Amino acid sequence: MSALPPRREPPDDADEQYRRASEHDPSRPSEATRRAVLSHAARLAAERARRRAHRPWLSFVGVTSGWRPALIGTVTAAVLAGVVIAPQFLVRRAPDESQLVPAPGAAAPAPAPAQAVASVAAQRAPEARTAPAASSESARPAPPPAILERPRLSATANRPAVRESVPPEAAPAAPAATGAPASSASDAMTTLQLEERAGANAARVMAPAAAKARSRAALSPPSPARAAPDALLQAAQDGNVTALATLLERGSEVDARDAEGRTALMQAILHRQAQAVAILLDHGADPNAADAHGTTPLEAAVAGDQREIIAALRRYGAR
Amino acid sequence: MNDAGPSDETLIGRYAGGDAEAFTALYRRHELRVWRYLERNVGSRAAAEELMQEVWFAVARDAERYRPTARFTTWLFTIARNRMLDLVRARRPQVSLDALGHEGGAVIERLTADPRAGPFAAVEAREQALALRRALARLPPEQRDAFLLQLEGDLSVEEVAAITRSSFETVKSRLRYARTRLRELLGEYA
Repeated sequence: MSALPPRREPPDDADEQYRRASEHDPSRPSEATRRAVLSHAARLAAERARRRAHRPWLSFVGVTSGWRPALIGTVTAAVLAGVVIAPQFLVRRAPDESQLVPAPGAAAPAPAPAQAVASVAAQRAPEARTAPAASSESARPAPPPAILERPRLSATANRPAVRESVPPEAAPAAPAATGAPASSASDAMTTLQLEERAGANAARVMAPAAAKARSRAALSPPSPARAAPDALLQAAQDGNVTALATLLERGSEVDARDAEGRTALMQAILHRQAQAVAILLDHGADPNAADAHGTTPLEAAVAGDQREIIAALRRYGAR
Repeated sequence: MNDAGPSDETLIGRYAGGDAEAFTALYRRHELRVWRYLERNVGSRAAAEELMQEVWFAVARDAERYRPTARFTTWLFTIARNRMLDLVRARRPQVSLDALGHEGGAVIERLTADPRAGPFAAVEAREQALALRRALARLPPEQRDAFLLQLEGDLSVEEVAAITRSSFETVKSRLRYARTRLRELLGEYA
């Protein structure tokens, strides 16, 4: 489809006849249809406005505008670089204990964006591969623990942002493409090794902060954002429409997935909960969100011969 | 096609950001055109009502995905056409575009019975509207679809070709045949 202005055809008398006759045709959509459309649109608008209020950074970074592809690309590249390149770089340095202990009194370098860390790692990795024998203190500076930790933090910190900004149909493929779980595991191993081998100074510095974080996590109740997906999936399975509506109105992520990659909509379909399906679709659930096996909601409904659900899914654009 | 005021593209962008009024403005601007496209293609008021809801629900749902690389009307009528084809496929073999009935006659009879209009004006209006429906019903579906897309969607031949996934020349000849046939048919009824 072209963005160019349409080329106008010369006026035709058949067109004129059509337009004249059209003026006399009083046929209009019914008031009920108009009301249904406008109220549905208003509900979705309110939901979007509320979502933006909860996550103001969405509008700040222009996620809904044409910036989204560029943003997704940048974040994905940074995450990929962080989780793929940086761990290799770190593992090579791990055995060298003397380089892990920061010099007494040395301040940790200022935090840098993930991209910067990744690009530094990318620049250094070839050096390490091509000239391992020539390594010296100047060629291989000892990275302080703060830097060693950073790729893991940046990877996990960026992951939710990617999930939010990737279109629903692309979302299931994202974790597999980035290889995030495996990298996180290797990052964790590296960190453990480093913590074991690091000197007493580093342990003393880290311990209070870690203990504080653990106690904070133990004392604070689970945040609604974390607890809601499970509750939503459960409510969808049970067909508990009151709970579903409440959770969705409180901002629960409508397309949150379980371990099998199933959304609440899919759970409702598998448990033959037609009312739950209707509520979820009405709240903007993606009717084409396939699970980890590639089964779409429509396929699941057809397999279960659930005609009411099939009709509802089709109304909302399921393919 | 736009009335004075913000462009369609601006309005859909504002709606995507949570402004419900923008959608209302957009709906009012295009309601009749989409309705005529659907109803005149499927020939059934009930089917057109169902489609109308589906089309605008889809617009509301996918507003955030709209990118102004094409005009809003091109996007809108693409959705309308796809939904219409989905309906035809879902109801096959009971329903086809031609077999949907073109029940317009009875509808027009009822709708044009406006007691405020004079008897002659009412009869004339009814006759013209009926003639148009009959003429459209007698066009081959592809020609009718292309013609309605262009007239109601205010789309160029290129845009109709893109929406119907046909070549420029094919669409051009469909439009030419449709116009020739309509001229004849509307002449007959005149």
